[in-house]
Amino acid sequence: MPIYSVSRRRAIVLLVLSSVLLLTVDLRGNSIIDRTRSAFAKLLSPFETAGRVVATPIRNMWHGATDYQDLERENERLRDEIARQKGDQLAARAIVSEYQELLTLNGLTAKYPTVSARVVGESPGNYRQTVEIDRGSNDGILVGMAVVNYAGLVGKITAVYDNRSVVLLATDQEYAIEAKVSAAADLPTSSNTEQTTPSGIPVADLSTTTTSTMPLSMVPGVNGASPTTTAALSSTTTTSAVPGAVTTTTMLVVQRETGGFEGRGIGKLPAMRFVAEGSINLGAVVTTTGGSKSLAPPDIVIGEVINIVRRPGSAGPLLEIRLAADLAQLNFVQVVLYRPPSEVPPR
Amino acid sequence: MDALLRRPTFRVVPVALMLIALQRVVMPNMRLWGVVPQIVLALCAASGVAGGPDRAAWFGFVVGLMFDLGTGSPLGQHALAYGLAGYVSGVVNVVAVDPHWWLSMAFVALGGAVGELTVPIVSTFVSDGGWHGQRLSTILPVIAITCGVLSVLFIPLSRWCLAIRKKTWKAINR
Repeated sequence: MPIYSVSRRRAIVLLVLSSVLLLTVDLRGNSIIDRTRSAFAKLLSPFETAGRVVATPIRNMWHGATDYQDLERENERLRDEIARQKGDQLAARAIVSEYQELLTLNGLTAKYPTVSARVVGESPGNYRQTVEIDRGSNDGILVGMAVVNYAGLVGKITAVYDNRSVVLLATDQEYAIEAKVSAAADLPTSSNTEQTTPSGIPVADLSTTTTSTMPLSMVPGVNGASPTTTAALSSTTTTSAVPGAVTTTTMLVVQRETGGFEGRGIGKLPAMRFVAEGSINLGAVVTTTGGSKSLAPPDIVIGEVINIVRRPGSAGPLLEIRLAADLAQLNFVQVVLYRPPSEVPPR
Repeated sequence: MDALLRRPTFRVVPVALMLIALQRVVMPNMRLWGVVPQIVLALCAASGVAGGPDRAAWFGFVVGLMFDLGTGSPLGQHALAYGLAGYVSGVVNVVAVDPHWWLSMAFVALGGAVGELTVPIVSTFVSDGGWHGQRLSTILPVIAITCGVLSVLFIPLSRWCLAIRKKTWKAINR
């Protein structure tokens, strides 16, 4: 048969058309295809189990051969990190408990039910960053729900079957969510030094104190792209009865920017856009904003700002984010059974 | 019964299921320069050398459909990509009467690269992922090389799946 015969051309045209038709039907949403997928997953399951059993020694051998030096380096790095984090952990624990007390005091506590799931597979391709978990619609999981682990945000559910779901990782370039970044500005944070009179009596014992609290103010962003919340927490001035002895506590100014967090694909750090120029520091913590249309509840930790890319014009800076969760080492995750208020059907 | 078991359908389906399972379970952990080798694609590309472009196109289409069903990717995306991979390797194989083993490897590598390139192209059209620019310059050579290397194993396997006997040449004595 010649290379370019009519029948051969017909075959390839038919192949392309069939594929396009299937793509169109699938992307428009089709229950038959969804059911077929679920049935096929069940059919594939014993093959995967067998594959796992057979391949585990081969996989371990492969990792032993290719990753040994990397593992050694990582081990050293992690030891350093653990040592550093021990101190941070104690400080963080105190702050968290204080924060929880404040929330309880103000009736702001919100707890969302979660479903724990095991990661059973990674994306078999080279273009999408997904993982598969062993929980599905039978456990109440719906498309769009946020997925977290103990460190922070992992991604969101993009496909749900009876007993499995596909999670789109936060680093995939299709992933985007509203986020906020909070950081103390470059003002002196605190100079809470106790001063005493020449006789050694603490100033506090001799003084009268006036305290003023400033309200939260919403200031539009410089380029109008994003609002900036500036929270001046408190300003306390203590005037002593003894001349010359004055204790001052400077304002703690917390700046908060909202913007869009998005993944940028394999090999690139995720980024946050639409934030105002000059207000964010390196190390600032990025969390979800929540809100009536956001798919994730508020205050899930996403990561920290590790680079600020200044851009010309009114585009504002691009914040590069290091995720809190290590997406390369996912074993167990939790699906937050949260639906934004706008998605919950009225009763 | 024996004739029934020799039919390609009864061979293609279990082999494809096994390879898809391996692709999902094992291959993501065996990355080369960050690229996941595509063993199912390699089989489809190898079928072009083993069975010619027409058979390989349909073989790739069917296996690709199974892959789409098993991995949750848009139905038809990998069917098209794997069908094209088989077709391309089959077409270039036609130009050589009895290619050397290394030429067969090169044909399978080419088919594999074309198939892998088709995936982001289709993604761009269906707005499901988008173009991957610079990363393709790493992905395509790695996929081509792995497909070429795996062809040593997969050309005979796909020949068995499609129930094709290897060509034998006889000298004609007059």
